[in-house]
Parts: sequence; C-alpha cells; structure tokens
Amino acid sequence: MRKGFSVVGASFARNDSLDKVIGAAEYTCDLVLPGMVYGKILRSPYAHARVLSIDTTGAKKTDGVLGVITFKDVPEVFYNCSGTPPSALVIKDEKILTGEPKHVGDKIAAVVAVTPEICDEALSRIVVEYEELPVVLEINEALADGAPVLHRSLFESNLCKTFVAEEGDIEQGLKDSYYLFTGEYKAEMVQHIAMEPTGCICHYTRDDTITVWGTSQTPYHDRRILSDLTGLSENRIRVIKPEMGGGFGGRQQLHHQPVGVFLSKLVRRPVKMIYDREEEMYASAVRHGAQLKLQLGVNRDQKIVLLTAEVFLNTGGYATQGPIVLAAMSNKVQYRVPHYRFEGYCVYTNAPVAGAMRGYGNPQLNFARETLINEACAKMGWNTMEFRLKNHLQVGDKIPSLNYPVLSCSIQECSEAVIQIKDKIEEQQRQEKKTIKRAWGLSFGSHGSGITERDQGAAVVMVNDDGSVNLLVGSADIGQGSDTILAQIVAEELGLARSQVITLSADTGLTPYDTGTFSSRQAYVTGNAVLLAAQNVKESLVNGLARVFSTDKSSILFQDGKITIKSSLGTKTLSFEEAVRKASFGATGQVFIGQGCFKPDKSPPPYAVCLVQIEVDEIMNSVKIPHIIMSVDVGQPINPDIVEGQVHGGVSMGLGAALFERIQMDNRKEKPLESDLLYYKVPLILDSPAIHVHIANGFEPSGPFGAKSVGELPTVPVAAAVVDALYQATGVWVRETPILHKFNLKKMAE
Amino acid sequence: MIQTDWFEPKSLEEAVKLLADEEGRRIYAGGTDVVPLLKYGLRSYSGFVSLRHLQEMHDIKVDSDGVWIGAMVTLTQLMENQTIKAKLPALAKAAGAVASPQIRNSGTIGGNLLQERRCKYFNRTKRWRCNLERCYLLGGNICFQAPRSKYCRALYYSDLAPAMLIYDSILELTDTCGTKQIVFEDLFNPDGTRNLSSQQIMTKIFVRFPHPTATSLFLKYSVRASLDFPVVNTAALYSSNEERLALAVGAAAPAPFRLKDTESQFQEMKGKISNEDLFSLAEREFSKNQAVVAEVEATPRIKLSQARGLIKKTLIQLDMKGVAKC
Repeated sequence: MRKGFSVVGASFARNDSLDKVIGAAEYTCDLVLPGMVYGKILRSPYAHARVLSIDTTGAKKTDGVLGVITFKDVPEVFYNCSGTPPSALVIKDEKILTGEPKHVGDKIAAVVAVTPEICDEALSRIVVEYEELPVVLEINEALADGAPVLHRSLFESNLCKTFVAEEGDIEQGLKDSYYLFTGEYKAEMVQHIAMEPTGCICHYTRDDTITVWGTSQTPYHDRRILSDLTGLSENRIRVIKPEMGGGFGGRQQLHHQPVGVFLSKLVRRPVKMIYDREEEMYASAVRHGAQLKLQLGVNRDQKIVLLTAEVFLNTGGYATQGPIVLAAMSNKVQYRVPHYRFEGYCVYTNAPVAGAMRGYGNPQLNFARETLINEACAKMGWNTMEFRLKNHLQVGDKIPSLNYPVLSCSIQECSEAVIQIKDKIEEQQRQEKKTIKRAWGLSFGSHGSGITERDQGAAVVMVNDDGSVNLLVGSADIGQGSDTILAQIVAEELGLARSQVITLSADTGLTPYDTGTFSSRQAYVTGNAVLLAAQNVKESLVNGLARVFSTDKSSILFQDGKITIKSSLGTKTLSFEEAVRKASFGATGQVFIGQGCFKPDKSPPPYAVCLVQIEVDEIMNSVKIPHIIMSVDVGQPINPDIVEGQVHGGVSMGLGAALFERIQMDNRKEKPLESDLLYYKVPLILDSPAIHVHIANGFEPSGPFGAKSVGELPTVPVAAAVVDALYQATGVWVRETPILHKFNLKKMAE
Repeated sequence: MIQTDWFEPKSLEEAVKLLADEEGRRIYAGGTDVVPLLKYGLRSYSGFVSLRHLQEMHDIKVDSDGVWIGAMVTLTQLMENQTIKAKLPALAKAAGAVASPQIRNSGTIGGNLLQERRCKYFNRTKRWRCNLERCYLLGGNICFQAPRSKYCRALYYSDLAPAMLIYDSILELTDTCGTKQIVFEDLFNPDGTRNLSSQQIMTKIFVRFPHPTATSLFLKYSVRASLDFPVVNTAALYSSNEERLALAVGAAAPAPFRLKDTESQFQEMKGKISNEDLFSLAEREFSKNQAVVAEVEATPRIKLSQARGLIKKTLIQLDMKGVAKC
C-alpha cells in the first residue's frame, strides 16, 4: 500500500449499507409501477421431451388472466443469453420459449395476469402433452456412442466446444520431467444462492420502447440481446438495475427478461416476474460440474517443467457461457510452467444449465491443480509452501498462455502472513484442555482483473456548479460495493472528500457503456475508466480557469485538493469548489464534464494464500472447519473493509462448495434433487469458521491507484486447502467436491 | 394464497367436536410442519382447529413419578425447563437439537411427535411432482423408494422420538368418545401408519423419570450444524442399579425403534459385557431394522456408517460403570 492517498485506502462505509440494514433499500421485487401486472412461466417437468400438443384454452378463460403465450407465439430464433461480448465462443442454441425442452425447468409457455396467484392458477390449466425423449445426465453418458444428440441442428454430437491453449513443447516437458504426477478430479454442480431471487419488470410501451428493471450484472449486454430478439434499436431499450441482493455470476445473463418483454408486448403494461426459490435452484444457472485430469512434471530441482489439464464441463441443456468458461480456465496459471497444455471440452447434457459463477471455471481447475501439487509434495516429502514459492510467478515473468508479464506480486508477504496468523491460533489452542484431531491444509489461488481484448469500461464525471460531483458509470453494483470504491477514485483524483462524489450506475438510458459486473473487473477496468474521466474533467477545469484568469494552462497546479493559479494578477489558491464556481459562471464560464474510456490490454492477477484448519471426528468420520486464514494480494485496496468483506463472502462460498453443496440429478425420476434450501446445504452460521483476513501491501502499476481485483479470488483456493487439511489429518485423499459423503465412503471402504 | 376455515376453540370438548363435525379438518399447533406442506400443495384441509387457547395443553406439570407435558408446550420451553433438563436430559437435549430457534419457538412437542414422514419424492412442490403419479402418502398406490412395497417407506425424522422411547412415555388421546392412554411406542404401526385418527387430539404426554442413579443422553448427526433433519439420532439410558440399558434410534425407518435385542442381552449379562461386543450387537441390530431408503443427503450405506458412528459415540458417552471401554 502506498502512502500519500487521502481517500483511496480508507474504509468508508458503503453508499447502500444503511438502507440495506434498515430494510429501506428497494430491490426489484419491491418496485410497484402504475398498471403493473404479473407474469409466470410454465416449465418442463421432463429433462428431455418434445411437446406434442399444448392447449391454453383453460388458462385464457381464467378470471384475471390477460394473456398466454407459448413457444409458437414468440420469434423462433436461436440466441445466447450470456452477458458477454459477442465472439466466436458464444453459441446461439436457446429459444425464448421451446417446444423441445432440454432440461427440467426449460421454458414452454407463459401467462400474464393481474396477480401472481392467478398466474399459478392459469399455469395449472395449460394442458401439455409431452413425448419423453431419452435423457443423458452425465458427461460420459452424453459422449458415449449412440447417446441422444441434444442439438442435432447445430452439432453432430453433444460436444459443443473444444478449447486448447498451449505453450512450450509437451514432448520436451515430458523429457524434462524427473518426476511425473497425475491425478483425476471431479467437482459437482453448485448454485449461487443469491439472497434476492432473480426478478424483472418489463414494460413494452405503446410507442415501442422497452424498459426493464431487474437483477442484472450486465445491463448493456441485456440490452443488445433484447434488441436482437425484438428488432428494436438499442436506444429504444432501457435496462435499469435497482438495488441487488447478489449476483455471483448468476445474473451475468438474461433469465426471464425475453419472456417478460413478449408478455408485456401483448398487454403493453409493466409485467413483473420474480423467480421462486425452486426456479432459482435449477432453472436459472449453476456452476459447471467438471471432470479433470491433470499431469504435473517436476525436475530434480523441484521446479515445475510441465502441466497439462484435460477438462470436461457439463454445461447442461444449453452452451450459454460454457466455451468462454473453458477459455477463462485455461489462463489461470500462477506458476512458472515452461510446457503447458490445456484441453477443454464443453458437453451438453440434460442436467440444469450451467452459466457463470464466481471464479468462472477457476475453482474447479484450481482444486485439481492445487490438490495434485499437495499430493506430489506429500508423496515426495516436499514442503507444500516452499514448493509453491519456488515455482511461483514473479514480477517480470510472462503468465503461461498469456502474452503479458506480471507487474505486481506480493505472494511472499502473503505466505509469511498466513503462517504468523496460524502460529497465533495454535498458541491459543495449546492452552485448551481438549485434545481434538486437527490439521492444516494449504493452497494458493490467483485470478484475473477483467478480461482483455473484448473488455471495456467508460465513465462520465459531471462537476456541478457548486463543486460537487456526480459519477456516471454503466458498471453494476450488485452488493459488492463498486459504487463506493469508484467514487473514492474520483474523490482521490480531484482532491475531494469522499462525500462530495455520488455515483449513479447501471442505467443504460443514463450511464455510459460498460461490459458489466463479472470477471472481478470493476476496480481495475471501470476504475481505470473512472480515473481517466476524473483526469479529463481536471484538464477541462484547468482550461476553463486558464480562460477565466487569462493565463497559461501550465500556470495552474492541482495539489492536495487545492488549485494554485499564477496569472498577471498574482498567485491565487482556490479550493476545488471555489475554482469550479469561478469557472462555471460568467461570460467565459462552461460546464465541466469529463469522460473516460478504458480498454485493458492485460488482466493483472491478484493472488491468495489459503490455510484451512480441519477438525476430524474419527468416530463419525465427520469434519469441522474451525479456522480459515486467507492473505490476498489485491494491489492497493481502494477500500480495505470492502476487500475484507469480499474475502469473507468468497471464503464462505468456497467452503460450501468444498464441504456439502451440490446439485444432483435423481437417476430414477431424472429430477434435480436439491430444489430448495433444506435439501441444498449452504453453510449456516454454526458451520462457518473464524475467517482471518490479511491484505498484503501490494501495488499494481497498471491499476487505478495501484488496484487489482478481489471479487472472485477468495472463492478459488478454498476446496484444495480443505482437501489437503483432510489428508493431513487422516491420510485420505478425497478427489471430489463436495468432500463430505466421499470421505465417509472412503473411510468405510478401509 | 391458501384459504381455509379457522377455528379457535376455548375448550377441549369444543375442539374435539369441531374435528368430528367435518372430515378434512386438521389440528393446528405450531404450524411449522403443516404450513410448508400446504405451501407445497402436498396437503389441503377444509379447516384448521387451533389449540392455542386450550390452556391445559400448554402446561408442564411435575409429579413424583414423572412429568406431564401439554402437547402445545413449545420445543423452546421443553429445552429450557429446569426439571426436564435435570431429570430427563435426553429430552431437553433432543428438543434443543430441532431445526432452528425460530422453529423451536413455534413448534410444539405434539406437533413434533406427529410430524409428517418425509421422502425425497414427497416433499416437493406441485411443479416438481406434476409428471409423477401419486405415491402412497398422497393417496396413490406406489412407493417410489420401493416400487414393489405395499406401503410407504418414508422416514420419520422426529428428534424427540428416540428420547421418548428410552423414557417409556405415555400419550393421552381424546376424542368425542372419551380419553385414553397409549404407550408412545404403540403409536406406530409396522406399515408406517399411526394408531391415531384425525379426530383424536393428543392432549398431553407423560414422561417417566428414570431411576435417580440413571444416566441418559441424546445425540444427533446432521449434515449441517443446525436446521437440518437428522441423518440419524440416538437416545440412550443406563441405570446401574437395575443393570438396564435402553437404546433408541431415529430417522432410520418409518418409526423410531429401540435396539431391544441389544438391551435384553445387556440385561441378561447383567451388564458384564464389553463395550465392543455391545457395540457390534447394536450395530447388527440397527442394520436389520434400518429401512433402505435413498435420501438426498445420505445413501442407505452412508446412513449405516453414520449410525454406527453415532451408536458407538452414544455408548462411549453413556459412560457405563463396570463396562469395558471400546
């Protein structure tokens, strides 16, 4: 952390905290609009079927029903719901409503009515005759010869994408490997469980404009896709994100908005649609289930010379972000690996559809890679921390499979910090009388700070005539605090107090384009755009003052929140506010607006070191996690409390997936089993460990005031550290997440 | 929205009459079991008869042999009651192990004991079930768990039940014909049905104090540390004076059960049995009685393994004097 900042690096309370605590914050489901009605979707109870006939007469006759649409009433075009910039990796394979459902919960028809209860009643009166089709739920089944092909019009098999990334020479790597380790791993599907359910209000007006209020991480992509689907130009479509209760990747895509828009087009009234928890569980998006096979080659000096990964992702009924997840997975290597190969396969099945989720492929691959490293170290008697540090990327190293170098890395500090915290915990535990079987496990993690090439962010800084500032950004604050930290960046650059800057965000009618909230990109990408906009407005103010004082631009100096102006009248020092007033009015006055656009050419990785302590009850074969320590290198934290909050949330999410969260399909009835929050086991407060956070003293030269990212990072390394701790305590390697049931079965087999 | 008739009788007489007047009415106690079933469309009733104003059903009365607990006593009251904590610790502990504080504040002892059985194919929304035929629990003719079974195999997850079994409890049931008492164990039929009509009200429960020298305990294993139904639970009582052991297991069959062979073996041997032998007896008896039912959180195999662990733990923690440690 660099000294000399006044607003950056300070833990200001978030803009939205108080409202959320007292229940005043307005989420999508709180909004009530004049003339508003409700919509609901009829979903397929079958994992794979064909609709033979559909009769909506009963539904249409129901009192209070305003309209019913089926797959026959909407444009029959293929699209992709993902909130991601257009590219060859975006496969268009879904329809707004379908007559050939490919997963339980696929959308068949929809109703619009004056109350949600009438919607339910009407849905139950739609009579559908289905022809059941053969179902494939697992990757292996889907790729087997003779398996039913889900998207026959697009692909010859269920393999919808192969993605390969390579560096160096694998043959050479194998030759150089004195030790070769291999491992096979599996991670099951999990769900985000945002507290707020997915929701939207769609209003298709009589003069052919659309406004959508809703849970969205990517309003501009939502707008682009809705424009494609409706044929309306983007300026006629406005997407607004109200307060949001989490996203975690789950809202980096459209859900029911296209259906809502067509329901609203029918009645020309605002139509509100809120998912119930069951729709959320298996009809929104899950994290890809993955099967991974890795190979690690190490030379006599304990240097990694080879890493290969073969990864199969279960994308469910549609591709959505699957191919892009593979691409993102391939470049999260944090070690010096001269010979590297990643081979990824995205596979259709009739399981719930996978999408983006915190980590975007990285948690699955990190779990496999870090576990393989731990297994190798255990086999050889190497110290897991030393081995990693010896092989870790350092400043100046090129990141494997990417074309730019590491500019900042505080991994050494992170590794020392976690040991210090661990020593303190052990000291306290030594004083306890109880003897419990405990052990620690280690893993490292890294991520990116945005995407390159296809990414961009923009910002507008409007200086009002009283010197206060409004920041306009397209980036969506979905609870992570981006509105607050982006305002801090403006305040720092302009020498203002934090309270002098207010952020308005994520309204495509008012704010400038932003790629969206994903890829941990707000602080770095949008942050850089915001910094450019603040610099731009500063320049414009200097020009204005030069005009007012009839002096040269070079005679005006911004320093420590003051502006010093040298002119023929002498030297004058003004506050920002005074300077703005002076330059806004009068004959030479002007309005000060700064704009910034940032297109990153790199995605600097943040780093994390994670230590997990496990307690094992040997009689029950059950485990408990009392402590998790995580030290993160996020560059300069703009707001340390927000960083710490992100680490707490990310660790909890990582722990749930490591211990007991999963979405299973019942083989007998081909249904998702975890369809509510009793069956789906999110860790509760009594299951949650003490989380100890350390933030390294980092600084990323290419980041705004030295910032990298934090959003996804803390989720990534948790599972591998849990598995390592379990091995250290019991001698059993569990190569699947969630670990709980597998561990029990392994112990039984002994 | 769920709409039904709502009655709040002021006397037991009025309550039993309201239940008898119309088929399809149901008792409403704490609501924590029945309301989720209504919301999922699993049950519907023409009316609810709330027992909230029947004061005698809210009382805990201690006498010399044991304690009479009104069926409307909440789980929170049960876990906090000083007499129950001191003399019937397994019952207090079991009450405290149920779900969450909110549910314990509302849920009652009567409701907990008479809770609906659960199965992964039954506890589902209408939407989830819409293409499945009706199973036994919904008035149909099949059990998805065991398609050839003549009855429903759904499990009974009450946390209180094993504790009730080891303390030899008695239930008092009232209807328009009068009042009778049955032993708690006799509430359950082998096919999972219960010896209780929809017109009967369980008014109170008698729980006998064990011998003053006896020790007793309750243990539960669930996936998460709170909220969850048990994967398995146990209650045990050891009375050194009587050389008697009572060992009960729940959440493993349509009814809770005692490991009676193990108990009688223990008594026959006058407690002169090693903990290890006792454990393998209990383990064998458990697996004989365990219903083979696939659950979302545990396969029958995993359940068996967790049950073995919990039984072992129970016997260790019971700390029976003169019995060799495992």
